[in-house]
Amino acid sequence: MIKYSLLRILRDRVTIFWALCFPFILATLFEVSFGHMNDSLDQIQTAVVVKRDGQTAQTFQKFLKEVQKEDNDLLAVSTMDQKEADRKLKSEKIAGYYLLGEDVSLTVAGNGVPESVLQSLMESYDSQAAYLKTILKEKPQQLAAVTQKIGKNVLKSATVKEVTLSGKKVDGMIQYFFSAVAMACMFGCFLGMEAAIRLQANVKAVAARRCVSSTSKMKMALADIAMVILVDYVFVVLFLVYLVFGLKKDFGNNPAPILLITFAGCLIGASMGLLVGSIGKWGEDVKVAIILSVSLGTTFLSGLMVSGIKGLIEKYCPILNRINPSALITDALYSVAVYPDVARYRQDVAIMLLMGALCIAIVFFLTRRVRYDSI
Amino acid sequence: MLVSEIQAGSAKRTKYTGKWNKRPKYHNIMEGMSANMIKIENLVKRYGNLVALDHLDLEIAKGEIFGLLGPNGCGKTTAIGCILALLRYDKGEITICSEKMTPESYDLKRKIGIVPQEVAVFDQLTVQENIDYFCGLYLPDRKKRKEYVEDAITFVGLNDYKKMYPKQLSGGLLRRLNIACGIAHKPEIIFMDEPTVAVDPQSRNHILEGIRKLNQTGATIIYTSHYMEEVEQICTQIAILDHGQCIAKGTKEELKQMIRTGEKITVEEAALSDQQLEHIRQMEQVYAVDYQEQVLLVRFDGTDHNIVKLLQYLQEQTICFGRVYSELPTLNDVFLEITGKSLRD
Repeated sequence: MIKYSLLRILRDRVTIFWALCFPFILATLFEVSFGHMNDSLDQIQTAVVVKRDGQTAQTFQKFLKEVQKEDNDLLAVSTMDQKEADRKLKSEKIAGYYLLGEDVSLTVAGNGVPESVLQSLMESYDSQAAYLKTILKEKPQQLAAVTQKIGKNVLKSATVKEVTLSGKKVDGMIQYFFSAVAMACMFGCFLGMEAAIRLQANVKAVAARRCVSSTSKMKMALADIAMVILVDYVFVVLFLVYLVFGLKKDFGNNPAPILLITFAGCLIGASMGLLVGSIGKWGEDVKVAIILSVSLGTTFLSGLMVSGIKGLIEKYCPILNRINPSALITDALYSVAVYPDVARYRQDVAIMLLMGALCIAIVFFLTRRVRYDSI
Repeated sequence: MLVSEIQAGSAKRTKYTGKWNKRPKYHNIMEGMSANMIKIENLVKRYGNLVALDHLDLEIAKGEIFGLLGPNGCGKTTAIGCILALLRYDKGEITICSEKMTPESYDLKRKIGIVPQEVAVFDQLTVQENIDYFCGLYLPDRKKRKEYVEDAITFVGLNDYKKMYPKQLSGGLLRRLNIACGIAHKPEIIFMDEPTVAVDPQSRNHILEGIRKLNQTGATIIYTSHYMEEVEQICTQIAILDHGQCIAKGTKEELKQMIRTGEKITVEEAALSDQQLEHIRQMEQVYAVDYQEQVLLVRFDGTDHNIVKLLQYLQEQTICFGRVYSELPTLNDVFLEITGKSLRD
């Protein structure tokens, strides 16, 4: 019975696509689209060309030094002549160079993120220039202190760097990958629904045939549920392996809690599918539509499509985040991989296990209903 | 040893030697039991305001091929659903082998096989895997099951298709697979709900032949159909259902004796006057005359020399006519006389 339950799941191409292939495709697309966004911000190669070594040039160089002090990884500044700067810009060894004369000007060859950062730095500097000039004129002894302060502010406005409570460096895009893991767990509901329908004699002829056999419905349900959770879990673990080792996403150094979170996620995903499959006499198409809405709806609310939506829900309707399985999964992953919050992690996992167990209990109760009004 | 030649597909011929007469030991427990395998008393089933089964009473004896005949929607499938404890019913009692049938009657269920109207197999499993799976729901012993599955595959003539998936099979072969899944565990009671619907004549004959063989090995078969020819061909007892009621029951001969028609004679292309038609109506044993578009249909309540008498009259009257043929009553005539409508209506 278990062997054939497994074969039935693994040979169902549509289910395999949604439960296994789709998360892989989505994560790959995420990586291609914005996976290297943080990498390009890490170190911007730039140059300074001093055309006239006056007050402006000195002030701007001091300002750049302050920026570098604040974030060593953001800028790499070298001083060179204009000929060399042009050559390096052409060969893309630098993203742009600042020409320092009476004013400061920026020369770039493209319009990517590094160029935007350089532009932003210069614009911020310009906006403070008048103020600096006044300081220089009236209180030149305070120039260094003011420049340092402005440098910090300008850096903040040019690029915001997140730092966790644990001091870990955060990949700003990791939330999308956490949501993708949640989605992979939730797609187990397709497997669960298929399994449930195949025990509903009033929906499928094959279920009627199973129901009149001498094997109890409970036994069949148990075998199917176990296989669904197992297969979904294996798929999600494969997906995690791909994210961690293939796409080099940082899920922390402790795999045990991550595995427990995804197991709880698979349990709740599969059991929600079983529940939808077990209730009502709707056709398979209607149930698929419900499942699709549930899985995509919950992952949407967990921030898969719109960044920050989970924060908004937390602010205005926090209970939704406590019962949304996808939000619980991403929250628990954050609690383990980004900021250490054991209590939060435990609470999320406990809620997921409880909800999963509740769904399965309802499924067993509904499956017990062994005679139908019509078939 | 059963030996038969069956034809699978257009050109392929498969020879098989079935082992279906080797009944499993559990058949012996039936000895000494009541002759009635299935007893239905006063069964009422309603779907809202519609009465699907109206105080239905049936008794099915061991070893019969029991035909449930009736038009679509007469309650055949509903009756089977109630017997198998799939459907909730409003009133009545159902016993199988003198035991009340409930959804938890697993010992009883072990003796039952079902071939549903709709093909009920898993698309993701091959022919062999499907049969093995459904057989496994009744028979946990793997070794024994392997043997039974092979027997079932041979019995339905799917040896050349066992590694194929259901989607790769033709309609007739799918029906055979559907049957194999229901009989692989060698049940004592087999329910077959219209197993030949949408099946080509070749596969239909094969299926009907198979049902006879199953019966010869001791299985009691409950066969539902709206094809009266099939029921006449294979059933030893027949119950005719209409509007959820059993309107007649017996052997096909007994059913035919219930009605007045003994013989029907049809005369084609006969030009008759009203007076001549009246003369025919007055003939001995004639009880009904129908004349439409120059086709004369005369019903006699006996079978003695009717055709001679009718032809003699036509000759005397110098009436030209075309083809003449005589028919004995069918189950459709039985249904027609009892309900006033045809089975096909």
